[in-house]
Amino acid sequence: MVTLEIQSRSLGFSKEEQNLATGAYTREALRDRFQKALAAKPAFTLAPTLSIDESVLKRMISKYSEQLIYQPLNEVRFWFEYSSGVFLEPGYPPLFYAKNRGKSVSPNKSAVAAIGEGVAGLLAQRLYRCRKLARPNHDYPDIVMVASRRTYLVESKATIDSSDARIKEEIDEAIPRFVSFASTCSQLDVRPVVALMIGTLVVSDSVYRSFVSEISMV
Amino acid sequence: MKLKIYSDRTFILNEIRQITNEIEEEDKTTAYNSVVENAISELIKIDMRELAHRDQSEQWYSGERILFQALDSVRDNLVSIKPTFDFSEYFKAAEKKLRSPALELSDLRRKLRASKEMALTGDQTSIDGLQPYQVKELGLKGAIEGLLIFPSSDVVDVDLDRLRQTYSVEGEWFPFQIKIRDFTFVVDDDGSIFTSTEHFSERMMTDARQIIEQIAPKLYS
Repeated sequence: MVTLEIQSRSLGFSKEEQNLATGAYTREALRDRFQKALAAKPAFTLAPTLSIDESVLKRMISKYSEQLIYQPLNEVRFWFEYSSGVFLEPGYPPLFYAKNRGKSVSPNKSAVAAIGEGVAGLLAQRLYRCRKLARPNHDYPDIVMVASRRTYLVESKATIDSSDARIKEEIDEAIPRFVSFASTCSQLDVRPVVALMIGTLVVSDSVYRSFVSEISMV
Repeated sequence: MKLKIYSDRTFILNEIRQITNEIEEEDKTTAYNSVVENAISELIKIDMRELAHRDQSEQWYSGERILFQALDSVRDNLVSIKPTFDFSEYFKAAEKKLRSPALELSDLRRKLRASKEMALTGDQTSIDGLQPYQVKELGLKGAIEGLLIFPSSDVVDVDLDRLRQTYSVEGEWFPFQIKIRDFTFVVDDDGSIFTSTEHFSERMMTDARQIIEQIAPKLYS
């Protein structure tokens, strides 16, 4: 069973802020202005926690992840086992061979990304009653969904061995691109567009913390 | 809660019909709609996968053949629901994007054929009834990783209240999780029921199969 702690925030972006988001790619001054505007918007607040069985996560990972990865939940479990230092005890491999030449030991990034995509799809379904319309191949965003004649663009971020502050920072850094894209879609689409940026911090093999930013164009 | 559930293909086709109606109503037919493009690509992917899975004849299917056959099939489906709408630009984009996945499907089709000849893959069984369904063992024989039940038809009525009368059903919306003894079963928005069977003993596998086959008639009743 995985405990999924959720924090969420709703962000509305005016036309001017949408333009700032687009300009933030090319000019540092615009990027700073955008980040200032973002900092003035509502912060994340706690939402009800979900208890999710591993069968549910596995199903969601198969449905939404683009990663070709065998048993990502076990990969993450193995990483936390390694991180506990237990490999020094009898019965474990004597050396971690990749540690040569200054290489740092890191978790399987594909497994973490797969979990992030699965959790993003799961939360879009559970919190917004969305259904998958498309899972674009090597494209942006990760998932296109629909609910009540609205288009939901879903983008996931996932990290392990990190902190709340760090993942929030990563999410905020990714917001301008997402706002700019959602703004374009919203002008071309006939339906209202909602963009969901869902970042997941894998705290342990049984606790994940997700940060949901619901972005709309105002 | 009683719901009418559509297969992915029918759901996406219905959405495309609705979106294109809205595009015409708002007179935005000249604007490029990336949601329609994504939806069409998804339909083509579904068709390509089905084609590569269904046709197990000895004939070799190149990726190109799989792609073009799926493109034709989806084009026919869209013409039948929206004869006057011009989808040509969306098809061009989808064709470009799906060339590589089509190659992979061609390769997988050849490999699956060989695996089936050696009876390596998990079984699939059809269950008849008012709302027929399939039971699929996921994975290779001797290492079945999951059991999946899915409706055989494009639309199915599901009764979640009936499930709740018998089982502990958790969740306010899909995916629902049903806990029975040590097992958890997942009911998703395409009407499927799944349970993971990784590292199960033969006894646990038999139990999981018996339970999932008890859930299905209640869900699809």
